[in-house]
Amino acid sequence: MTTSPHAAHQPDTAAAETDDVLRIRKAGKRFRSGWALRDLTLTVRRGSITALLGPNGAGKTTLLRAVSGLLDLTEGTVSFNGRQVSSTGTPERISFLAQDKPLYRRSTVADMLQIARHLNVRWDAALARRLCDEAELNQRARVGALSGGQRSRLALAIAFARRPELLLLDEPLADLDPLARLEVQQTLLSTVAEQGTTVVLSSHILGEIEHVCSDLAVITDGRVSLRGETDEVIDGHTLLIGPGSEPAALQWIPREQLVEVRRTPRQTAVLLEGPAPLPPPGWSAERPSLDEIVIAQLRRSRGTAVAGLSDLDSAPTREAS
Amino acid sequence: MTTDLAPAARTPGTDEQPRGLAPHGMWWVAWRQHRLFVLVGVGLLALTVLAQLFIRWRFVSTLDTLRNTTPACPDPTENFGVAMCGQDWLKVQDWVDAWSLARLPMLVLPVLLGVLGGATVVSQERDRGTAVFALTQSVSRTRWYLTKCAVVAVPLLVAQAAAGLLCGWLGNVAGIRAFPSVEATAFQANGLVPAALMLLSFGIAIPVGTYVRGVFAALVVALPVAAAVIVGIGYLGYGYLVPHDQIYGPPDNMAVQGVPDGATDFTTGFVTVSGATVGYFDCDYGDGELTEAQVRKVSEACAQRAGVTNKYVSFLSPARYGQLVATLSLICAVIAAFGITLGRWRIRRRVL
Repeated sequence: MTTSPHAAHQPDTAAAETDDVLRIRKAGKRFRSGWALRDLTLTVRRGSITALLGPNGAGKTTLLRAVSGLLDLTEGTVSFNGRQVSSTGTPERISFLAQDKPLYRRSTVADMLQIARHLNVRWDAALARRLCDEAELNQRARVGALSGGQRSRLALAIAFARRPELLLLDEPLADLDPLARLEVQQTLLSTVAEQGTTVVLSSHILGEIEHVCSDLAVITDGRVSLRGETDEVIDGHTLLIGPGSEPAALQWIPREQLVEVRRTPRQTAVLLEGPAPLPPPGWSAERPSLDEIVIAQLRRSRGTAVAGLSDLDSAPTREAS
Repeated sequence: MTTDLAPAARTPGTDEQPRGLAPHGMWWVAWRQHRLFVLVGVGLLALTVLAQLFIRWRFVSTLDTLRNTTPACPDPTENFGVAMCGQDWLKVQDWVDAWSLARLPMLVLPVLLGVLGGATVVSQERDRGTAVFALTQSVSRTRWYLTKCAVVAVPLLVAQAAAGLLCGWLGNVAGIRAFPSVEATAFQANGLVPAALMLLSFGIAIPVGTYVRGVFAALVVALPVAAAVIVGIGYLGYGYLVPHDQIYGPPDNMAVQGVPDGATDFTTGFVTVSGATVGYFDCDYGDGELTEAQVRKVSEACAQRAGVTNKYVSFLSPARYGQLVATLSLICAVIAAFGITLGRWRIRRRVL
């Protein structure tokens, strides 16, 4: 199952027949320090904006690097448009933007665009120029002198000018101030909408991408712990709010659906997968936020539990002070 | 909560994708990245040649003046000294010393430029994180690496080869035996040898730059390693790369005749009746003073008793200059090719 250069560009007919632009099967990557990815399977449908969510060290960057051809997997395969990706080079129609936006800092903006143009077979100079103009980038300014937001927008302009089918963004909004974050989000959204690009972006801050993504995949410890279209994920969960209760009073909660229980002296919040059973009097069912779902899933995958709740020890519980 | 961004249809007429310049555009990018280093390197080599040109000009004019004004000193390049040539002979010596100094860069620059170029070609981009940018564009890792190697190495090697040939030619024209010469330091400074040594340095530094993280660390490792290999092969061991010539003579205490000018790396010994070679044989010359003829006679008698039939001198002949340069260059090229291949393998496999 190891991805090898010889296996590159072998068409995956099953994937080619579907509308999945990216298909990752049983991906595993082992470094000296241990496994960064393990048995990770994920598909990305064409035209979607998929957010990879997870804590630091979950394996998001490793996954994006494997997809972009920057590293070989230890096991499993990555196929893009039905063809296997290997570390011999980034596929023509994939653009990857690393977290630190690596650009030649001593070059000017104009030089940087020229360099990118010379490094690419496909290059939409007009689009690059337009995106730089929209960002009000001075063509003669040195890249090193640009603000974080401007550098991100230049990097995005270069990534889009390659006319990719799949754009991979590793923590695109990290280290940006709120205004720059908004500007980069706007550039990203408008250009993606215009170009029809499929986007996979990673983040460990849900608030950054909540309003951007159409699909999400939560990655913990190198595995996908939750996957789906954002609306489906939200619709697939129910948040029950009730009075502060002892664990013994929560026996009615179906264990197989339980994601998380949060308790305060005044209130108990229970997050369930799927439709809620008829709650006892005093309880109400609400639509959870994506934030609540993702955080609860992350906690569940970590096995976070509070001692003393033996009746609900199969689910992570939180006692708020 | 989520967007309803549907994939937009492409703008009509955009099915035909705009063209960039890769993969050939990598040449342009690599040149832009490394041109400063390459131009500085070529400039230093040019300065070295110009300095020698100037010194040669002053040296020759001083010689001419001395020849014209001091008839007792017909050829000041011979070691006549102040007694025969007067105080002006010291000026000749000054220019000889200056020339020696001016040739030093021809010994140092091949190692320095080779190591700097080789060690930084990859590690610099890795340090700055720009390797990730470059390797996620259309250019393959192999093309990226090999193009950068070629852009750094080829102009410097050509310039170094030209500088070496010019230095040899300048020394030769001045009447000083410098080229072709197999003698140490003249051999390494002239002709194609400096370029071969530069290639060797580059080939050693390249894999170091891909394996060792950090430009400074790569230089710290590559410089002593390259220097050690060059001293070992290029200075101490080069004489053993081609067969030594031997000339035989009678087993007396006289010098063997027929050794060509410019020969070096001498070994002398004796050949026995059985064809074996020995370093010496015992001979008792007594305590009294002997004439030259008597010494020869005693030596011959001793040799006869020891079974020695001939004396020989083995040496590295200047006639083997071409063979020596070719052999050394081949070795340097093989090591460099191995180093570049090792670097390429590393680039293909490593997580950047």
